[in-house]
Amino acid sequence: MPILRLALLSLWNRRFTALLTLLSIALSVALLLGVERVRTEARASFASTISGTDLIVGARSGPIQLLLYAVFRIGNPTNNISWQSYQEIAAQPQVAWTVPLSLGDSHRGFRVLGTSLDYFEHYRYARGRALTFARGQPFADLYDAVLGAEVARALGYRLDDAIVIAHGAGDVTFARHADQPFRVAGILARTGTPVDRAVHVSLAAIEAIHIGWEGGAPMPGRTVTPDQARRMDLTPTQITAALVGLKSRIATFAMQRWINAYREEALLAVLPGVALSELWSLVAVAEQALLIVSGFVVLVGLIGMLTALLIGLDERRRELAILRSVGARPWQVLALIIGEALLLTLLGLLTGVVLLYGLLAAGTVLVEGRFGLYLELRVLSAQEWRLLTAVLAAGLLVGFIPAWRAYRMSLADGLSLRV
Amino acid sequence: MTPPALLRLLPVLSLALLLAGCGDQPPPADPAIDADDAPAFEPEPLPPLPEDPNVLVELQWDYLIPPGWRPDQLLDDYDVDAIDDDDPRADELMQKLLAIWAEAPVVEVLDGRRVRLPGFVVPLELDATEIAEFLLVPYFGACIHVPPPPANQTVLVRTVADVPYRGGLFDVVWVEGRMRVESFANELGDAGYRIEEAAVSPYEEPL
Repeated sequence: MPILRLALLSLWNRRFTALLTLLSIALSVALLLGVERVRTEARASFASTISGTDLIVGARSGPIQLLLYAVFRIGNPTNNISWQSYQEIAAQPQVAWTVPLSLGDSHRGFRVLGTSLDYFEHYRYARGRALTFARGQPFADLYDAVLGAEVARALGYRLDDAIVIAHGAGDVTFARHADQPFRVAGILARTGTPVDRAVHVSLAAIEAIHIGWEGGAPMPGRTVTPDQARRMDLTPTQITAALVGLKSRIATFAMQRWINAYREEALLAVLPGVALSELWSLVAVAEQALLIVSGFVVLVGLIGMLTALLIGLDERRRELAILRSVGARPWQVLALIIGEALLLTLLGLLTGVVLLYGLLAAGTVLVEGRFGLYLELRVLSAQEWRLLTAVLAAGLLVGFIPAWRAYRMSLADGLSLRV
Repeated sequence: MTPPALLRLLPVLSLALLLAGCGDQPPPADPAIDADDAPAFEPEPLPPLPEDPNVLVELQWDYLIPPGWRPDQLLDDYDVDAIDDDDPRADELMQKLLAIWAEAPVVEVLDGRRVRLPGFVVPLELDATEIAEFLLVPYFGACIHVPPPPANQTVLVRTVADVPYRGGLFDVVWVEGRMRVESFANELGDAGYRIEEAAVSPYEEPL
């Protein structure tokens, strides 16, 4: 198409300005898509963390808080729940399985989770996928630990390595349980969930390392050696939270009410789906704000293009006159300018997408390491295509302004031009 | 009304509103009307169904309760109005109600039929925006004094395999699909009402 070719050559003629305009559009598009991508990936990452669990039970706080600390290990529990309450819940006829969770220790920045072997059997993520072992097996000995994939990768652990667990969420020398080291018995396969960032040990081990810590700090003469610990009764007295699976999902509401109304202890039971939905509605406002801001950035980029085209017009009056003299109709002049705008926007979009994927590819490991957010390198989603189309349409509309001006100019100037 | 007068009225108004809330402040008793004499609420029974199970039947929540199920007879043993929230009898009553709710009878003739039922969505399995499995309930956010919907007023819905429902918590929807009914007495994981391969669409109140 001659007009398109002419537009290309015209842009090439002013390639420095065109390149700057293109870059500004590309950056704004990369920002817009990046925000959309991070938003959906974060949601998907959160939502896929837990599946197939009917209720999460913990001390009475709030549904979102319970979900955050029990499943995502964000924040801290307000209180623990007693072993008796947990046993009573597990003994209910509608309950099919339960998984106890005990939090409060860490290893070099990664949380330590005390749980039972039921965890590896019943925990599901991402619509029903089960945990699998990349190496080794679940804990058999008292001091066995199972690492999440990210823990093993970041700290370079292999099977049979020795690790020391620290008390609390930080990692300082004076709060380590150095007298009772653990052995890496298994490493889980990557899940893209907070499971990757956890060190799993048995409930008995959590009890063992806290013998002598009743005062909140190790008391000399009260702590034990690993061999002494093995001989003691290590039934837990408290756990932090529990995952509950029911025989029939229709019984969920009744069970939830029973747990919430439990007289012996202040408990809270939440449906993970409901708590997640409440979390979404909380962050929805922030998400919308982010999208609006990136929309404005795209607008700024397009206005930059408008400016460049408009300024260029004045210098091109003679060029347009020459075009008219070789037979170009006024509407063809209009089409030429629109073509330039469209080309700039299109190339800007393409560059923006390439930039986005480049940044994602480079940053995915970093983001996962620092934020635990897994950014999948997938093709553009339907929503992202819609955004791109909207930007293209906006570019087309913006192009009409200088194009119309050029149209009027070429009508008025005719073939003789007085500058 | 001048602003100062309105301000003086405000605490009275808000007190009146508080007292009217949640129904725990009974209205002054009219000696002519006694709760025990009031006609019992009977759920609307299921109308006769067409022979062909593939003909779509539009359901109401009342149809899911078999005629003759009268759990409110339990309430006759307790003087409900006199029981405080903290009274251990309130607990006892709630436990009994929950036990009855869990064993609620189902209308087995609906098994295998294509049905259409409106309700509120309570998501069970969800992605960023897509819900593949959810519970359908007739109401939500009810007063904490009443028990949750009984087992025969809760439907487990599974959407068509690759077409999850794009929506959120407590959306009002029409659910259309194949109904499966399994009695609670069997104690199977599948007990209760299920709608499989459901197509979910937004609900609009008829004008």
